[in-house]
This record gives sequence, C-alpha cells and structure tokens, in this order.
Amino acid sequence: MRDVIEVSYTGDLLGHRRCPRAWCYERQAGFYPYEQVQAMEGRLIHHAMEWLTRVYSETGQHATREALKQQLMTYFKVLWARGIRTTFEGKDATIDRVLKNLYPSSMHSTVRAAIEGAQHSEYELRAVKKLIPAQFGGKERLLLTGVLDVVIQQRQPLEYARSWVWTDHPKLNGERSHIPVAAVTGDVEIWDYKGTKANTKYIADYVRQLLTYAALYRDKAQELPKRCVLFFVNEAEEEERLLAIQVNDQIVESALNWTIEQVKTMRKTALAFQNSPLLIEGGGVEERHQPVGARVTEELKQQCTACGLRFDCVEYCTHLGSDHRDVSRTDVGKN
Amino acid sequence: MNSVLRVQSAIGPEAFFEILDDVLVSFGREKLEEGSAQKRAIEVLPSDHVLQILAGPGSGKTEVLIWRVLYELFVKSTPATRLLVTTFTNRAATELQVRVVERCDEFLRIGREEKALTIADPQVHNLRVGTLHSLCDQLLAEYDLAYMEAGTQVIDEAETSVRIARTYRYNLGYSTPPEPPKVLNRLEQCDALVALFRPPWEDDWPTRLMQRVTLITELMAQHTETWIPRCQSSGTKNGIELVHGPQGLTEDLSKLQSRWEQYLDENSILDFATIQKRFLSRQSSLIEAFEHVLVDEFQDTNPIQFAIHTEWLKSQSTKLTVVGDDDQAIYRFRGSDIECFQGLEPHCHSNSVPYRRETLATNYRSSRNVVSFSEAFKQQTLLSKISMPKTIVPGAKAASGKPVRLLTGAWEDLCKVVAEELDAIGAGRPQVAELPVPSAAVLAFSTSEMEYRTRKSPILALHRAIKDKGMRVYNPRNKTAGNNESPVSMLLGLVSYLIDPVSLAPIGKNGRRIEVWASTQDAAKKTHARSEPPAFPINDRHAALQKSFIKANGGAIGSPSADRAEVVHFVDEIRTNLTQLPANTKARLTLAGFVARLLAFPLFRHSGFTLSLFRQALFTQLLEANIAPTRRSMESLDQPLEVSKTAGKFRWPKRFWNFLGIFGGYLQNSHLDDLEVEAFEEDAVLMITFHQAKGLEFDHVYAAWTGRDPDLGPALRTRLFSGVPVAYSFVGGLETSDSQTVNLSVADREREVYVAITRPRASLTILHDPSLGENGYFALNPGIGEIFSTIKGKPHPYSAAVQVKEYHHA
Repeated sequence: MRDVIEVSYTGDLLGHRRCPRAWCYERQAGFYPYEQVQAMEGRLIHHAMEWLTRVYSETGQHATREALKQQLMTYFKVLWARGIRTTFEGKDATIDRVLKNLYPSSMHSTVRAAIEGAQHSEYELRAVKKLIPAQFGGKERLLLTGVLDVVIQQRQPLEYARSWVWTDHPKLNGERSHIPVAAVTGDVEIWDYKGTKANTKYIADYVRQLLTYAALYRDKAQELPKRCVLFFVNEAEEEERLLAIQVNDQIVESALNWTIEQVKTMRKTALAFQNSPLLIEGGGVEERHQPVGARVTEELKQQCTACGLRFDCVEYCTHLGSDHRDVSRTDVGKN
Repeated sequence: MNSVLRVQSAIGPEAFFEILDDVLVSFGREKLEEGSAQKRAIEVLPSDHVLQILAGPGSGKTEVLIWRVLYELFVKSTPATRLLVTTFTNRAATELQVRVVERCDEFLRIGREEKALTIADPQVHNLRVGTLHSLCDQLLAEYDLAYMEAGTQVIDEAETSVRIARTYRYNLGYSTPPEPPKVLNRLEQCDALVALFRPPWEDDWPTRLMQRVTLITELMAQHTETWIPRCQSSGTKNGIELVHGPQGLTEDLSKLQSRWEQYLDENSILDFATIQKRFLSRQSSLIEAFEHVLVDEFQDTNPIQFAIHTEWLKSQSTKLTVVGDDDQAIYRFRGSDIECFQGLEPHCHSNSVPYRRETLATNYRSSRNVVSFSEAFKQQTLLSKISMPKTIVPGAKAASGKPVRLLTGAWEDLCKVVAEELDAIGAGRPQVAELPVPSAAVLAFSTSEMEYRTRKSPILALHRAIKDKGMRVYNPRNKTAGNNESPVSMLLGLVSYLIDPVSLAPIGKNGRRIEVWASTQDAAKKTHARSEPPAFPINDRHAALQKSFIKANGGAIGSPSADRAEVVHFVDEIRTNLTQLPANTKARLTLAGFVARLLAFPLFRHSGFTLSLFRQALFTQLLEANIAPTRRSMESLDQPLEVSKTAGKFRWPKRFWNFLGIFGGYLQNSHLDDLEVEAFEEDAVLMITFHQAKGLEFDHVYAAWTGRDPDLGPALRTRLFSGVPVAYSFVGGLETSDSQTVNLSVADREREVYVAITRPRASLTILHDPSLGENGYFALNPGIGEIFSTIKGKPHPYSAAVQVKEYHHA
C-alpha cells in the first residue's frame, strides 16, 4: 500500500468541493466524464494567454488579433477532438468572446501587462507534506500539485480597482471590496486566469487556491509574491476584471492549512466511497448543512445539467423534481 | 518558460556526506560506509560524463539516485531546472518526487539547525521528474512552439488501436482482393515477418480485425523504436528482407510508419512510439538546457530511447547517469533491448566520452536465504555466463529468514496449501489496530483467468481458493474484463440491442423461430432482422454479447429475466422515442448520454466498490477511445443518436454500425485487463505477472510457472529489425540455429524468473505441479529444478499430498 495521497488542486480539491459524488466516480473509480461542457472557454483562454506570452517572449512582438484568432481556431479543433464542448454557443461565438475579452480593439491593457511582465508561465507547483496517518486514512504523505498560470514582475505601475477583504479570517472567508491596491514597478505577483465572471460563487475558493499557490511558490522561490491576482477574463466590467489579494506569511500559512484540512475531508470521502459508493451524496461540500435538494447552487447547476451521474443523483433529482426532463432517462430530446 | 538562477553553494562534499548520513539515520536507514560503492555512485566527480550504476535487487538504487541529484544541487549548485530524471512508471516518478523533497527538507533542517550551516534551498520542486513519454511531451510543449501551437496531445494504447482499426484501410493502405495489394497487404502476406509477431499460442493469425490492428501496432513500434535508430541513417535493410525477402519490405515498413505519422500530425496527436521519434528529431534545440540527465531502469531501454539518452552527450557539459540491472531486463517483448544497457560503455569508448561504472551489490531487501537462492539460480542458468560482473550479497544486518521452498503437488492441493498459509500469516485483510498487514503476492508468468472448454485457468483456481478463505485478492491482468458477464460486455450488449436488436423469426426448418439480427453475414437472417442491415460487412461479436446479456439468468430473446427486464425495456423505450419524435424536433441524446443512463440502473450502480464498478469505468474509457477518433469527421459519434423507421425496420446511419463492429471486435480479441486501481489493491493479496512485479517488494512471495519455453519471437525481432541477417525458419513455429538469438530468448526467461525470486523480503516459495506439463507455461525452471534436485522432500504440514523441499543458505 502506498502511503502517498496525490492531490491536484483543481482536479481533486476544487472538484471535490463542487461535488464529492462526481469527484469520486471520476477520480476514485476512473469513470470518463461523458460531457465536458464547462471547460472549453477556460481552456481557450489559458491557451491564448500562454501562446501570447510565448510569442512575445520569443519574438519581442505582440501577436496580432488575427494571428490569435487563427491560433484559437486551431486549438478549438484540438479541444473539440478531445471531447471538450462549449456550453451553449457555437465555435465562432465562443472564439469571438475570448478575442473580444483579450483584444477589444487592440490588446487589452491588462493582458498586455500580464504578457510583458511574465517571468514564468504554466508554472508547476508541488509540495510534499507529512500527514498524521490516523487522520488521513493511513496515508503518511501528501503530494499537492498545481499549475500557476503566470508569475509577473510588473514593468510599470498598475492600479487594481478591486481587492479582497477578509470577513472571517479563521475560515478564510471574505469578499471583494472597492479598496484600490497599487502595484509598483518590480512587484512580483502570481496571477490566475479565470474563465468566469467576477461575481462567481466560487470566488472564495479561488482566493484560497491562489493563496495556497503563494505558499507553494514561496517553497520554490524562497520569497512570497507581493500579491496574488485573479484575472476574470470573461468579465465585461473593466473595474471588476482584476482582483488583488494581499499576501503575508500568516495568511498563506492559513490557506495551506485550510487546504490540508480539505485533503482530510477528501480522504474521508474516498474511504466512504470504498465502503459503499452509493453513500456519497451529490451537491457542494459547503452546502452540506442545507436540506437535500438545496445543495445545488446556480453555478453548480451548470455542471449538473451535463453530468452523466445526474439521473439517479438524489440531490439533483430532488432539486429539480423527479419529473424534470433534465433527469428523465427516456427523454431523448436532452443529452 | 523558466529563468535559470544558480544558487551560491555553501557546502562541500565532506559536509554533504556528513549530513546525508544524519538524514539516512533519521529515516531509519543505515549510514553509508566509508569508500562504499553507494558513496562513490552519489558523488558527482569533475571527470564524470557518463556514470553507469549497476544496481542489483534491493540495493537501494532509488536512494542513490536521489542523493546523486541532491549532490548536484547542494554541492555543485546546479539549478534544479537543469536536471532531468526519467523513471519507468508514473508511480515511480511520484515516489521519487516525494522522497527527494523529504530528503531535501531534512537535509536543510539538519544542515541549518544542527550544523549551523548556511545552505541555500536548492528548490527541488523545479526538478523535472517523469516517465520518458511524459517528459518528451512536456519538453516539446515548452521548447517547440509548433508542437504547442498544434495543441498536440498524446493518446493511449486503446485509442491508438481504435484509430488504426478505423483508418488502416484508407490512411495506411489496405485493399480487399481482387484489388491489387497495397502496403499492408504486402506486409501481412510476408509470412517471415508475421511469424515473428504471432503469439506462440495462435496458429492462424491475424485473421480478425483487432489481430490485424495488433500486428500493425507492433510492426510500427518495432520499426520506429529499433530499425529507425539503428539502421535508417546507414540505409541498412531490415534483416527479414536480407534473409527471406521480399525485396522492398524495409521500404514498405517505412512507408507504413510515415503514413501513420502523417495521420497523427493531421489529427494533432502522437502515440507512445512516435513521440519518442518526434522528440529525438527536436532534441538538439534543447540539449544545452540540461546539465545532468538521470535515467532509472535503464536496462529496459529500447534503441530509440538509447538514442535519446546518448544524444544528451553531444553537449560537452551534459552528464548522463543511468541506473539498472542487466539481470532484470524483462521488456524485450515490448521492444527494449539489453544490448542498450550493455552497449553503453562501448558506445562511450567509441565516442571518446569519459565513462565510469559503479556496482551496488548489497541487497538490503531480502533475507540471506533469498539472496543466496537467487545467486544460486544465476549460477545454474545462462545468466552466469552473460551477466555483467557482480555478486549480490545480503546486507550485514540481514536475517537468515525462512528457507526458500519448492512445493510440488497437484495444483488443487497447492492452491489449498497456499491459501492456508496466507490465511495463517494474516495476509489479504484490512489492518486492525497497530499491527501492519504482511504483504503477499503470487507471481506468475501469466495471471490470465481466461477459461476455455478444454483449458482451465490454474490462476483462477488459486484466486478462488484464497478468496474462499475470506481474503481479498487483486489480479488486474486477468484478461477477463471483457468476458460475457462483465459490465464491459453487458454495456456493449445493450448498445448492440439498441441498434441491432436480436429477435426471433420463423425461418428455421419447419418454421422454427430462430435468432435473427441485421449485422449477421447470413442473408436469410439479416433479411428478417428488426434493423435494416448495414451496407457493409461488420464484425458481429456485439450481437453475441447482446444475446448473452438477455439470456442470462434464465432469460430468452424477447423475454429477459426479471432482473434484466427493466433495463431491456428501457432500451426499447429509447429506440421507440427516437423514432417517434414530434415534427420539427431532433433528438439530442448521444451514445455517451445513452450509456450514462444505463449506468444509472441498479443493475450497474448498485455494484458496490467491486471489480464490477471498475469494469463500468473501463467501459466509459473504451467508449471514449472509440468516440475520439471520429470527432473530426462527418461521422462523429458525438452527434445525436439518429434512427428512422421505414417499412417496419429501424435504419441507423453507418457510423453506428462502424462503432458496433469495431468495439465488438476489440472486445473479441484484446483479452481485456482490468484497470489498476490503487485503492482496490490495498491490503489485498496481489496476483501479478513477473513483469508487473518489477520494482515492487513483498514480505512473502509465491512464484509459479517459472519454466516456460523460451520465446524466440522477441529475440528475433530485436536482431532482425537491427539489420542483422539471422537465419531462421518459421513454418510450424519459429526456429533458428543462431546461438546468439537462442541465448537471448533463454536469458529473457531467466531474467523474468530472477525478477520474481528477488521480490521477497522474508519468504520465497516456488510452486510446481508436474501434471500440468513439463514443457510449456507450467514447467519448473530447469535452474530451479537443479538447485532442489539434491534436497530431500517432506510432506507439507497442511497437506501430505504436497511435497516440500527447503533450501538454506550456506
């Protein structure tokens, strides 16, 4: 028996928080998800930013809008061939929206700042932590992995109109505020691109994720970044696009501890799944205190509607009502 | 894109080894002995360019590899980003990553806190550790803009097989007589070639679609991994062409490979063989990026991997460290060649590259009896003549341990005895309280549980005997994941029922109602089927799975048993609903959506955490492997299910017939293995093959079927695809008088056995049933037989029908 728990931050930790049931079937038993509708736009955005950064780094010139469009068209086909789908829109509308967000007319100033300041992109982070076996189902070590979108060293001052303030420090909860934060030239920041809008329900998860990455980044680089930044690429409101999160040793340590607590919960779920897969309930981890049927948030619903496990998911069936066509097995008008 | 910073070192070799010893002690290990081979292997000398570490079983090679990495980081101040470590499996990569971080953290702690040294953190998280394939992918994505722009993805073996099945006729070149033969026809008609790839247990092969796919896959892999690196640049022809012809065979193989590569490029994908070739062609642009490349399990390297590893040496400043054991080279059947390991030193000498070798000969894993026995085995076999020089000795603190035993008797009695013994030692059960569960494994050349009318599976009998004692058993390579009552086959049977429902029609003698379906080759039957027959012939194995599902538990066509009726009626309803859509409405349900609905039925969902659950998961993975190749075509299987009903018959588009034919054929011939699920093997008695056992260790090991006949096929393939004209005959089985080839094949067998008998820590038991045959798979290895030949047997305490012989070290 291996004594290592391998946890990918996005694939495991966030996946488990969204829905432990879907996470178990996919990550513990190996079920291939039959539709991956949410991923297309996020992947296009990540690829676009990575590609723009690479082109700039290798040529010293920014790619044109047309060149980016061509690149996105190519990558769209690759994603399509791997089963990644758009939510409700077609190829042109999806690519146009990504383009519009990155290149409204010329390159968006935020995108430019990220690309020109990029020190590392697609930066792999890893941490090994010792665990107390009794608390983690016999496992002694944790290998936590994540991929940081970009590490930036600011080339010029930049002001963030929105920043994160804590409302519940111990539980690491907080909210967006209008308190501006100014970055000065030379500030090192870690950025994460999000394909959602800024008012996402999962914003606290994203903040904790980035702060955990900051802790892992500190292991690699020997120093904390000056701040973390969430970049909501799909956000139409200019001022809402960037969210600055102040960083210090105490807060990143808290985030790391919070993450390890989540791993403990995940391990409990995995052991329960090994006991009986049917015992694992659907719906978000944060909504466990709600009655059955009230654990599906509007954001999770977008995932549930395309989930192959929804037809006998007590939570989702109760949420919609068992006669809803979304959970009807015989309705061929819905996939 | 990562910047490179060289941290200032504050530590010399002496301080390094001092702290290293302290770290080892803190992890419960022994300090390194002064002047030991381990110490020499860890130290990176200024003159080092190539270091080959010959590491016997249990000699702590991973630990040495880790410390050599840390030596580079702490003493030589090499940036972690400039080190590359390749492992054989993803699991080994994870273990190495974790251990290197642990050792490094402890090193820093002791160095800073106890020795008061100023030591820079070497940032071990920046190391690149992975399998060669994953590193090729990662490095190409990082250093090759075209690769990244194309969004290239690496596909797995299942998808590779399905893609070849779908594409070989048009993209690779295959015709049906009377059309003139194309490249694949010519290759398939070359008996001298095909005989080398034909499994020893098959007489007429390939006759079926997936057998042909296997042949094509293996041909391309051997050509890419052996012929291209060894012969292409010199223009040397394949040895088969030189010995048997036909002229143009080598050219045809190259044509096949190049067409496949073109297909892969068009689809922005790469398979495992081709990504190595692609990497080698781009490697020159990133050679300067690495200062030290470390390769684990180097003995299982194939020629193209050897070319990749030695390509690094073109940079004067790049060091190469390889670790391995020639006695544990067991992957020739997948294209590896021990000549790569043995040939490294000559390669270095002929290229004037400084070369050093260190030998780790102390076995810290096994008892004295096990070490002594495994050395005696080598002495009794060909390995004593061809192995690189080393004598394995037990660690100074090794216990004598239990004697190595040979149990001889009827297989049924052996099964009972093994089960009793495992039960007595407490294996195969979850841990209770603080006492650890002893690990135990049964190792065999094959762990197939397939049963035939005339041949029972001994491994299945042993599986049952252990399970009957209440122990958990896990045998992932059982070859039965696609059997009739497996969810894999049940689910395909239900898809088959949707598209091509088998029904009864009164067309037998005297109006007898017989089974009819649309994809059968029988004209009368297909005429009366409920679906319109496909416009082209397909493999109708799917229909057999369908019938099997419906007839199970006393059911019959048209009247399934009560436990299956619900799901069968559901499929009927779906089919009906698809044909009765309201006007101007289109179906949106896809094949994958249909399967998701099937899985929601209690028949599947209520399986518990069992093999059945993992077989459902396996089906979803195979479904994806079948759908992915279609997505870029007009025949995409992601399109909704589309069926019409005309003149009382269901009419399905051809993509669904193609799907049924290929998926059914895949299950018919691939003898599917189960998914390897880590959680499922926890606390179980493992039943695994000699090959799977590589790199693992157990408290107690039982080894069965150690004396299979040597297989000439892999050895001949290596030699012939290396351009060597080895004379051989192939009618009625492979034969050759070439002693070098014969020795290769015999040594392959002995190495497999050597791997098996060096896995145990505490006890080793060899199982042998003479009644199963003294030749073929079930024979006792002659070397083992010789060792026990002078030892007197006695009855086993659990069964007098089983004779026990005990070997004690001197």
